[in-house]
Amino acid sequence: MSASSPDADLQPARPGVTWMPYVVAAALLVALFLVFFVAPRERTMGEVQRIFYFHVASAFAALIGWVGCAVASLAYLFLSARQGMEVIAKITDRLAHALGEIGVLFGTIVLITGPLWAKPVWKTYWTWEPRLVLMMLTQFLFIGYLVLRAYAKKDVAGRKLAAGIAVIGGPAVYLIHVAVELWGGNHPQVVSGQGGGLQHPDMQLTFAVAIASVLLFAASLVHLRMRHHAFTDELEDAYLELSDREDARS
Amino acid sequence: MKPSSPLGARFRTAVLTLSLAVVATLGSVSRADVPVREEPQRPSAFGATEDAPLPTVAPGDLQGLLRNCDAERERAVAAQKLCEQDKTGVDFLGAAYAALWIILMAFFALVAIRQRRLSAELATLRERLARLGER
Repeated sequence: MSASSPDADLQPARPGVTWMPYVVAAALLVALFLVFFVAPRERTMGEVQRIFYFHVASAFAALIGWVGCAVASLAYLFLSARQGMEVIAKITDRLAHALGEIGVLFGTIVLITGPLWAKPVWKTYWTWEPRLVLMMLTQFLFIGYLVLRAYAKKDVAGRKLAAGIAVIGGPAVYLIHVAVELWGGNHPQVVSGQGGGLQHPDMQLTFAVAIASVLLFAASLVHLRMRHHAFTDELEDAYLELSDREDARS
Repeated sequence: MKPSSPLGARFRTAVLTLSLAVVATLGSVSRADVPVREEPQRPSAFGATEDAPLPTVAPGDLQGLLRNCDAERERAVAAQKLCEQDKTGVDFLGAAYAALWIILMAFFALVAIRQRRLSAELATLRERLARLGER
């Protein structure tokens, strides 16, 4: 926002890459087509196993979002304490905020589609196995981060406190990943790389496309939210500047 | 007495709300009857329901014919079981994908509302700028 003309730069946040939504929509449609029309029925679980493709892809997006949020928050804490790094610190803070939001969005999807898959297979919606508990607690932690970040607005202390909470969430993501190996549980170990896996080539193709399309979708949402946060920051700066000028005139 | 900062009050409210949510969740779970579960399935591989062709039986090989007969019966039983599972499984599959799209639509609605609020704030800002210019 330039000091001379506060009005000049202010435009509502628009998607930066106009073709992006079309590519993302096409990728998601292809993935859905593969899930319902190409991937074969699983031999022990039946049709309900088709939840797997978007459930696991959403879990990948959530975990990447949370790790990214923790790393960007750590960078923000590090950079905000250094002279001349204010602009980069602001960008990392916005990136952390956007990644945290997308992590919580996909975490919600995982925590809702998971029980809907578990009920017909495990005969219960929820078990208190370590992976599920850790996933839920990490979701709570990042919801806390978002609440605090939203209340902090321009307050630097509040932003730093929120960033600290996000940094704590980073190791939790690693524990979610290794929970089944370390402490056991009912979760299938299909994507662990220790034998087994998806045995049919059409299942492998569908899974790969689902992962790629959901991650592309998540990346486009992060981009959208970052632009939104940048615009909000600029608007708040402009308000402060305008109030100063009005006070000076009167 | 020193007044508390707005951030401090809001932070305390947020922490209190989250703590209450966690306590309520844990409390409801500790009271809930834990259902008796069947032997949990923990597959290490997902395979398709494609059956390999049965071995060809030489004419007069009665043992071979019986083996194929048993294999066919086992497959029929497995297929029947899978069909039974699918009766409820399909409903849960539909519910999961419906939930996925509802969550995404809710997120987009929230973003659209915030965007509209920002646009309204921008209009107010422009109005104030114009008034400042007129003075």
